[in-house]
Amino acid sequence: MKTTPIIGLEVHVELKTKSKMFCGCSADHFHVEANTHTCPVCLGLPGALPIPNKTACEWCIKLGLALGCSVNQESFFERKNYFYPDLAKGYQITQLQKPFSINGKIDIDGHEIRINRAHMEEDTGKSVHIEGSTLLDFNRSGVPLVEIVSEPDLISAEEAKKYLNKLQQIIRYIGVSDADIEKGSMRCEPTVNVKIETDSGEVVYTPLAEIKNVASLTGVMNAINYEIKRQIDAYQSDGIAKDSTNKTTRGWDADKNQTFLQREKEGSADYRYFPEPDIPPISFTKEQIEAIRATLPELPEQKINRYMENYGLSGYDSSLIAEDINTAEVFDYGIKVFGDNKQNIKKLANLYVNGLKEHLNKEGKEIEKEKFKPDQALKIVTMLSNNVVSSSVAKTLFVVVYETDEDAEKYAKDNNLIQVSDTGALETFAKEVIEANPKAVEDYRKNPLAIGFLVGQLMKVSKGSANPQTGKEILEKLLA
Amino acid sequence: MSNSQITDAVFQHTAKLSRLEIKPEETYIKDQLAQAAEYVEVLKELNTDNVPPTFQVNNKSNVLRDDVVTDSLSQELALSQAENTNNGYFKTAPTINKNK
Amino acid sequence: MTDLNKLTLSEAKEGLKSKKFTALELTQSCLDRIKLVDNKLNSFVTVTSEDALKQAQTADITLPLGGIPISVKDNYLTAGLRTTASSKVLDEYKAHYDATAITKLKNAGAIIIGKTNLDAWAHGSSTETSDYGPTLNPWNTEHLPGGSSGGSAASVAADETIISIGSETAGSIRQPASWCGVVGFKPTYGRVSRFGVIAMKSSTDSPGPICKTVDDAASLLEIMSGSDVHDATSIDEAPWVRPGLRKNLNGLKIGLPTCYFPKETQSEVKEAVLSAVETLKKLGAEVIELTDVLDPKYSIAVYTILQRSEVSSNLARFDGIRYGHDRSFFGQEAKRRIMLGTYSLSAGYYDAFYLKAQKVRTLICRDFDNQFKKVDAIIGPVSPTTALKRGATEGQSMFGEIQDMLVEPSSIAGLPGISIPCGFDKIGLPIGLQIITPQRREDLVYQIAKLFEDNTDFHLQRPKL
Repeated sequence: MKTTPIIGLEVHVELKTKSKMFCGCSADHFHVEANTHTCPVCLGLPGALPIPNKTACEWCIKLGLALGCSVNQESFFERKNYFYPDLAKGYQITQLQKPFSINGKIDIDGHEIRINRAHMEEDTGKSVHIEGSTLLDFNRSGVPLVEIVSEPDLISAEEAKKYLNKLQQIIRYIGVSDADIEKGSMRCEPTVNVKIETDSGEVVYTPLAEIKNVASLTGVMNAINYEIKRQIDAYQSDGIAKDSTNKTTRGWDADKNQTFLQREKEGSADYRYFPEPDIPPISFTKEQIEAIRATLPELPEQKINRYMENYGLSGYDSSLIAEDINTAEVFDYGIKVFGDNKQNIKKLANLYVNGLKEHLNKEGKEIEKEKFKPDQALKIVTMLSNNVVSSSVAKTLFVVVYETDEDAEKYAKDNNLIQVSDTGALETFAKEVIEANPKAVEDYRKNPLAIGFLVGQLMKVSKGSANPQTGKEILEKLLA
Repeated sequence: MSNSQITDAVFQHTAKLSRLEIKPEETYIKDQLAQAAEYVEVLKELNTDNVPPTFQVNNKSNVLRDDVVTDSLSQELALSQAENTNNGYFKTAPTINKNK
Repeated sequence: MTDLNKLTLSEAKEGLKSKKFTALELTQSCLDRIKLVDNKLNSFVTVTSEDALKQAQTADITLPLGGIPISVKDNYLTAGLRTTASSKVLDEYKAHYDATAITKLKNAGAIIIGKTNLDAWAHGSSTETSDYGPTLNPWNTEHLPGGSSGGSAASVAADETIISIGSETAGSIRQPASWCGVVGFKPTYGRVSRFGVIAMKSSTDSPGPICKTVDDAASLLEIMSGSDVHDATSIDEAPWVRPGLRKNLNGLKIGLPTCYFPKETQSEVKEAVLSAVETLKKLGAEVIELTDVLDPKYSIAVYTILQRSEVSSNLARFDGIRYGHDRSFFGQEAKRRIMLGTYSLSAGYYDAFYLKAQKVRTLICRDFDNQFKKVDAIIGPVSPTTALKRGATEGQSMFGEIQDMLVEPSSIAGLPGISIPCGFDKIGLPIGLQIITPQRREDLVYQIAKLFEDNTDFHLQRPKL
């Protein structure tokens, strides 16, 4: 028996506009006193009418364009009718027939994941469950949401995770949302089933399950993995295959690490969509769409390609630099100062990734553009190229000039970090090392490769200031 | 669109979707539903092939607002007409089964 | 001075300006009249005597409506004031905010004396389906006032107020105005903001005035109209301003659709309208019979489907959590309409019902476009009959639709129209004439109506209560 998971993801992204989707209330709802950001529109009062937020619509299109979507030049809003206490109007304003953006894709290690749509809609209020009742806060009601729906092209939890990471990266690059899963500004609902090829060559599909309430990236992976296994087991025991009526909705219980049945027969859900009569249709000219496209920053993939092609950086370094837009932009700022010197840029990348970025990761800090000084970086790279400092000293200096106002050269001098290539001084260090390490000298005589240890000791004695190449040559000369 | 199509099952489903409780003495609504459904049959007389629908009669489009924050209602006013509130929240019957 | 309540808006303004009486006296006179006759009529759901008198004391009569009493259909939200839509669901609902039209009227100095009765949620053409009991026709209390703005029309006809506002989705201003013998002006869809008017059928809801004369209605429309940032469907125009008067109707072509006299038409109604045709001809208009107008029966079907569909969605917000009572408080009519709407929009029926209706709506709009290539305006009876008797709606799920068949086509197409008195039947019930023009041509509606009114005296007659 061969099994292949079939996974599609519905991702809701809360846009970080100042105001809500259809009214002027502040869209900020995180840790805000309940029901203080509401008005007739988002509270669903009688007679209130929605007016769409222009920025939100443009951002939905911008996001679509970043995902390679095409834009529906003519589109409109629709009402999705259902009852739930946190849904103030008894319907959600969304897009079904003519979403702003359609047919995009995300590439995951060469596997193309098709994106069906990125449409504009509004968030619901928030329910808080207490003993015996449910409390409702409508501050979140009407906050703009973009729903990004993938085709069921993903084949593993790992791939789903990569897809979400990449989506998150792109969304943050274009700056339309924090896309924070833990804070709820990005929410994912995987739909999972499994293609089973039996040993006799028969092909069947297990019933679809949509999984809700997954609140972390790990949760998404665990839920998918759990569901794949559950479905295969279920099929083996009951033999029920997918049909048009047996899609279910399952919840994710992160404590028990398992999914549980929420609603059966999802196939019969009937949202009675119809065009929203309160909002006239929306159209975009080709020029308007191109104007939005022009506001797109260089996206991660493009950056990585440029780093590799133009400066010969490794794929690894390039993706680390392009990981988030801030890091990439600061690096690009450095590149500008460095001109077209490929060798220097390569050294800069090395110091950037292994020096500064590693340091910031350790400290758990974000890079700050103001603290990065490209002229100092250039100084350090030049010192390194001219063997004035060692590469480990260069890394240290790179962090020092970032964190302080020190000048790299002065700091190196003041702290005796300048590489010593003067043979006289190096001979003194070398003799000291030979004296102190008779055993190692013995080893070297048997095996010349053991010189490494002695060079290391030489560096130590010189507090890192020795030029290792010259030091090695002097050691060899003295021991010859 | 004919009378017989409104079965009890469809009627009950419609009531459920409408979130209305139809009392036994109100089941005459079913017949009226069928009557109305039958009345609108006249539309079949008109050929609407290649006729686009009209959702808006005054030809407006692209009515959008700038992303500017305006005043919200005070919490007190927002909650003022609710039958049940609790600490700044609206209160309603529990919506989830805590037993999962 | 007595009987101030009988004054028209123009007369009342003149009287206030020349200090013949005060705003307080004027307001008191309307409130006295309400006290005297409203137990018979039930035009009002809520009377706001105290507030009204307080405002009257400090009224600024230099404002366009300074010190003028107005009755307001109870589906307009009035901040802090009970707003029920004549449904028990909103029995104790005090509106959170003012509708845009209300804000404009308040800014113009109008004094709200009360909220008038309507068919619950404006679902109907009789005001008989109100959860607060039916309103009765001031001309004959055995008869209905029409609806849904029946309370507004009756309050004007009975001189319980100087002016009033109603709302029309398909006939709800014109039909009660016709049955009550007053002037009801339904503007182009989008001319008056819908913000704060409890939504019924969002794509045709049109708030507008109900008054004693054409000029009064025009004055009110001037104040209520204008684009609104809170209503995306409001038309992008400054408030409407009435045009200059015409001396005659020379050069004007007026169409008379033969199908606007269906078999249900009462003979007196037909006679009154044909006599109005003669008046218009005398005034210089060329009246042309239109024999190829799309049968109104299609409009009834389109309206029924679209209205029910939008209603089922528009009434979904009434869940009793944030305001009002829960859904068990809906009356029979609302339940019926919600059910049909839900059914029409349901999976499997959408194309056959909702989409088909929207396509036929296109045909209706095109039909008007074609007719208006031949004529400048269209006239006809507002309703096939004069006011029907109490109880006429019982068991009639399509009652309103039949009564409104002659106003539904123009509503569906978003056209402006007016109902003006044009005669009386044998038992003295008023008959209304409607004048319809292309969208945004309220100027022409006004000119024809005003000239007709100036040359007839139907509007001067008052019911004897």
